[in-house]
Amino acid sequence: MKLRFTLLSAILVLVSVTATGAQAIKVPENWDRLAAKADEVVNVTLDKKMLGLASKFMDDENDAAGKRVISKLNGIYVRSLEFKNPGEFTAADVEPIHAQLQGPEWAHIVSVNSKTEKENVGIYIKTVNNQTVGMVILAEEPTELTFVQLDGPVNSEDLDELSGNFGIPKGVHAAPPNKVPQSKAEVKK
Amino acid sequence: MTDHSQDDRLEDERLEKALRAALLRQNPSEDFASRLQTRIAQRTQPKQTVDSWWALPRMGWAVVGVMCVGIAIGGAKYEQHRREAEGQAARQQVLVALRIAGAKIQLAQSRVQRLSEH
Amino acid sequence: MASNLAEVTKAIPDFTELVEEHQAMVFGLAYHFLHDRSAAEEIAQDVFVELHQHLDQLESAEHVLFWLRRVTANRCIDVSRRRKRRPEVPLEELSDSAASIVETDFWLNERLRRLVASLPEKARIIVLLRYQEDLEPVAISQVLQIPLNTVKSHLQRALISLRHKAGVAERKR
Repeated sequence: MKLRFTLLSAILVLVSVTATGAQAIKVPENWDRLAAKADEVVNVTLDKKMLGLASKFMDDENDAAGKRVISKLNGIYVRSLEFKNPGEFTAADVEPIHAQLQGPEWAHIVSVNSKTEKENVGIYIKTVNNQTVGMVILAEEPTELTFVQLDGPVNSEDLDELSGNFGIPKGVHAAPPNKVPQSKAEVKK
Repeated sequence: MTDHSQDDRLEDERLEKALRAALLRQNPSEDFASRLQTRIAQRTQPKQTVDSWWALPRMGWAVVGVMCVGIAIGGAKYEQHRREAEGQAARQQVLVALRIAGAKIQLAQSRVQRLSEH
Repeated sequence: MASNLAEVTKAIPDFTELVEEHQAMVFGLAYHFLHDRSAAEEIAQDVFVELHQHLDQLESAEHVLFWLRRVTANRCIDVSRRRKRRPEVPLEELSDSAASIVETDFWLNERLRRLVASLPEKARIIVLLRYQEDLEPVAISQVLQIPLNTVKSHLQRALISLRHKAGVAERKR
């Protein structure tokens, strides 16, 4: 039985999806204004050339998984804003990105909304000719707004690889025992 | 379509309406026109001719040659350092990006898992 | 001759305007035909480069439009044949895995686009000229230089196939 979870996290994972590595989803210009208010800003733009260069320097055994993932990518784009207080951004700030993800190639495969946690998370896959060519993750949390775009044939194994790796232990977001969630969520698989 | 029943015609009309909605004209990328102009300009650009400005005396060319080698060696080492620094910086950015991506995917997974357990 | 040239320059906008006016049409046909954005951009670029080369041979704005549709259609079919590493997926084999996604208009549009992109080439281009460009079968037969009855036959069979696969009759829009 499919459970529907609607999470409104705005994690923007920008996955550039074109062969040229150009960023397919554009971050709205007003995010610069949001960045000015943010406590911490992460802005990563790596095209295929830079990923290739990075790969040459990822010889550490801890880098092996990351190296595997990026070996098939044409680009990685991240915009992450962390604020001191909640309420620094609104749905209107995220809407231009949602609008771009309504295009014919995009499928909204995961949508989690939690009123309790005040979070929305969406994961989108772009397919062309029945092939996955990119992924976007958009996460809105009370004090964090994140956009990640991975340009390339990302698959579910890569998602597993990404989850719980690169310094984030698995289960870090799991609820503490005996906590009863009060939110409804939708998941689309 | 002469043997269509009324139901078939209605279904066809619905399908045709859906096809029109699905097959709207699509805009290419924003830089399509500029790339096109560049491509056309390159096709029509006359080939450049090289003037024979390089008719320096032989000794002058030897000096130039030595200078070039010297510059090349120093330049190569500098370039190597620069590439290494650039590569390490790119590696750090990759790890940061993947860490963030992984964290948010895990966030989504954990929420989904929690809700599916109830 | 000079007066003919003057008539041509009056009737046809300049090249930049032509690109702006027709790029969505050309790219749209190529994209829906191949369901491949980058390949569609390449085809569209090629078509406009060719237009630039042949512009002085075209007589009117209408002629330009006709020419663009024909050249785009031919180019799409040529590219598709060259790309036959991946044969057309018979409609029966199209995966239904995406059907588990919430059925919205968005999903129906996407499904239809994929179904159209998997039609045999001739049928595909005919469907696109009919439903993207809203051309009547007579006009389609002129663009593609194939008999009118052939156009009608392809169109009818494509609609039957699409109707069966998309199950439009069971959806409410």
